[in-house]
Amino acid sequence: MRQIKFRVNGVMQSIEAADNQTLLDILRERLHLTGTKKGCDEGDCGACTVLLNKQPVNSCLVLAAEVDGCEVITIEGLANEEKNDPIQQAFVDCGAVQCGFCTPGMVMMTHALLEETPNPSEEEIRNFMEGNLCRCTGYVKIVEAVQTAAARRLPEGGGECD
Amino acid sequence: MTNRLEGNEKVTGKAIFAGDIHVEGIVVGKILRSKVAHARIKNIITDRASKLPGVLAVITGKDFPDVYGGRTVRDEQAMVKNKIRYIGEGVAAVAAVDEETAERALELIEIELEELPGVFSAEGGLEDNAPLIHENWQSYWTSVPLTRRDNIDALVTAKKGDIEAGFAASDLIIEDEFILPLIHHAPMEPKATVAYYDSNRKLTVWTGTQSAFSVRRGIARYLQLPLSRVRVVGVRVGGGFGAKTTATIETVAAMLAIKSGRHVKIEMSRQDDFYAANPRNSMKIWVKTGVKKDGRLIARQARILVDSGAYDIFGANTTSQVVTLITGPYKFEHLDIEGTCVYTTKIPCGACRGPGGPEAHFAAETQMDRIARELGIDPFELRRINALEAGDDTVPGQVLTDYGYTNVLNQLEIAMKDHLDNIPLTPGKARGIGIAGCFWGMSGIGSGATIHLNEDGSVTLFIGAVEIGNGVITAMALLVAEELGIPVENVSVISGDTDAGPYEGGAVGSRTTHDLGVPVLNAAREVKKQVLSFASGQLDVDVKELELGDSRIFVKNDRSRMLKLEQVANSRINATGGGPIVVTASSTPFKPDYDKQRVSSHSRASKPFFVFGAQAAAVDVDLVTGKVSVCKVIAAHDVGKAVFPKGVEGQIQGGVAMGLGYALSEEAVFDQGRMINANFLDYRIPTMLDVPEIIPIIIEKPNARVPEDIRGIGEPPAIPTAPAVANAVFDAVGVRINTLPITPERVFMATK
Ligand code: FES
Ligand code: FES
Repeated sequence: MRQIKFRVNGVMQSIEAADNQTLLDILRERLHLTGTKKGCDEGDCGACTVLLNKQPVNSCLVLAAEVDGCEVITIEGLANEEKNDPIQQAFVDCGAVQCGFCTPGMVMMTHALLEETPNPSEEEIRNFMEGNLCRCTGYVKIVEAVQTAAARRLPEGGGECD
Repeated sequence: MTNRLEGNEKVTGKAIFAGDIHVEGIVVGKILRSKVAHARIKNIITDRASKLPGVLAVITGKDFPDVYGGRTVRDEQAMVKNKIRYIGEGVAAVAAVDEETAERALELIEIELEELPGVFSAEGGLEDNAPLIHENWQSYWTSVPLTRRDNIDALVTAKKGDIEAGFAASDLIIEDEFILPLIHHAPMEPKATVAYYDSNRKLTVWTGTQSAFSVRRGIARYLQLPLSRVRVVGVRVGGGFGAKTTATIETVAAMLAIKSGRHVKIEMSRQDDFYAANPRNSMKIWVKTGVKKDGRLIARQARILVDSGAYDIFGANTTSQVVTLITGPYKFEHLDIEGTCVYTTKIPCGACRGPGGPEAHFAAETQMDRIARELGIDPFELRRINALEAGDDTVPGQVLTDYGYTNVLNQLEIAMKDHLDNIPLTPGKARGIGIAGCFWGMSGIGSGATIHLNEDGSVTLFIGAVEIGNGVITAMALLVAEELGIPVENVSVISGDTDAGPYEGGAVGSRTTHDLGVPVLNAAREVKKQVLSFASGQLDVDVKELELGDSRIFVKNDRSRMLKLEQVANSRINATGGGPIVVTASSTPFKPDYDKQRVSSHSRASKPFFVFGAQAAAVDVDLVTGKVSVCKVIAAHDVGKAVFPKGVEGQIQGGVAMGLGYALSEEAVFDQGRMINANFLDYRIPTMLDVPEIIPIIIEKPNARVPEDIRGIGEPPAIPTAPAVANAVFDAVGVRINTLPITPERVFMATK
């Protein structure tokens, strides 16, 4: 067991965790932030993607000790009560959500992508998000949602999906 | 276009899936899964596990009533008592305060076994001296008369005309054998459930299921409880595709909850899902076809060998469906079809998105391509010549009233010109284009719906269906909104709770939008009738002169005379002294006739409706490695009427993606009954880099009557993709790969 301190969605957390406990389990079981999903627990599906110091990580592969002193953003940290983040809204508008289980991971990954590459090509989107699996959508509308979100975040705005 | 109504909770992480449920005092349930494929259980000693601090309950098969369950064949128990039949089968379970304690407790359970020789292929199960997997097979109840014997779960046959005469009259005879793998649904959410048994002796189970009522039925049967004492709440579900249709871990969680008095949560791991979900059956299909020079199909003979795994689950049904669908959407004068479903000591297979559909059509539609090439007939033309149309009959002799295959083919052909003609070629790769069609019989299960027109004119719709990502909530709300002339946001949908909504048959068999649409619309129509009748008194005009729209009731030819729906709802209550308008409607499925002489032991001989589809795939085959990459897919599907168009597109695109996995990468690999690639690194479902642009073509019937003409779209898109890809591979490099998946190795070896 060790004491770890880290910031989650802007709130400082201080908890005792076993060394082998994953960030994913801490988020879900200890902090009850269940928006982050467990699809495999082996680093193969991307459902557990969160931002760790702004970088996207599979939280099922991150151990408690590694997050000490870090800043974590989860899906719950994007929206405020009033308004969705433009990425979240684009996922709704473009029909990129079906069962919704992959969605939090997809949205977080999109966030990471657009921070680095505000106007990605389709190829860049597909390469960047390859590790995030979705069994429902065939990805077509997810790619559209990322493109739409990108356009909406640009100063010139725009970005409609039909 | 309308957005998915529950989209917001899903993009914000607020949607609650079963694994997300947390209540004070909840404990962890874990299942001990067998590591051997076939064994007699001599003794299970749980004392040490029970005594471990933090353990609240330990159960084995002995704790359950001695009953068998199953949809078509009752051959399975809630937890095995005497015999293990596959690796991954649950043999004991514990409830403990945390995961670690639960794991430790499982390790302390001692099992004494007598190992038995395993059966690892359908052929093996048919051998004379094969070990008998179900010793008491003769005592099992079946829902329809089935031909069963020893390890044969079901022998399904169909005959029409005179097969030998048919072959004799043919100009060309073609024979092929196809080998199809066991593949997994692999929904992104492994199954999870929470159960609680309260002080009123009521059991409540919150679960990720496609059918709350099926789960309730299963639990009640396995635990011998009255249905009224079991409540199943279908929470948000991370995809099903057939994997979450019946009571599995729910029954175990329920027993643990009863024994421990606590809320018990069981979450399957990804490996559990690969070991114990009920995936798509592996099969061998042999097809011999006789055809005239002018392209008319005359005779088809087929032998279908299905590996059911340890239990029937859906084996007899899937086999029956392959027997029906093996013709593809074409007519034949002479048929001789036989399907044999065999028990093995492997994971029991169930229904996976269109069970039997992709399998039968891979055989039928790749052979169709071969016939077209051998006769030098255009593949579209060959299909049109033979297309099933209204008035033609299916293998079991059901006369079709649905039609439209030719139209689907025509629309696909037009779309191909627009979308496939100008994809740039890639150096070092050979381009090929292939097409395939399909037909699919929807299931029919009666359902109900209740509508409350609330005092303020808002509407609450109660349905028993679970929103599994299929868009049922949105589609049903749209039907009500349109009928009552109100914005869809004003319809609040209560769904998935067996104690809150009327009976519903589940998200299975592409049936929901039609089967549930009927009672939903009938209820909405009755609400409308009552509203109009009251308004007609208030406005003093005949009901026929009134119409609904914009949350108002108008006089048709004088729209200044109107009432708000809210006023009507309210004043009707005041005037009558009664409550708000409440209407419940239910439906019974349509069961067409078929020819009983033609088929035997067929459990799915007639279907309420048939739908048609056709797809085209453009592929690139790497000339060095043999790797097939798909450049584009066009998928044309007939839906009668698209209620929720964005949802229909999503179903088509997702179905095609699953079809691409079947075509190119997915296969559960077994060694002596153990799946050796039980993770997403080794079992490759398509990623964003594998799935190309998919162009959905939604075909609606002109003047479609709603709800009568609404057809399902959940399964059909997954059906013709694999044969379209295989035909494209042939077009590119001239080899036929009759074994799925079409891996680079297979293409490389075949082209060498
Ligand atoms: S749960 Fe972390 S990658 Fe799948
Ligand atoms: S929406 Fe279901 S897994 Fe992506």
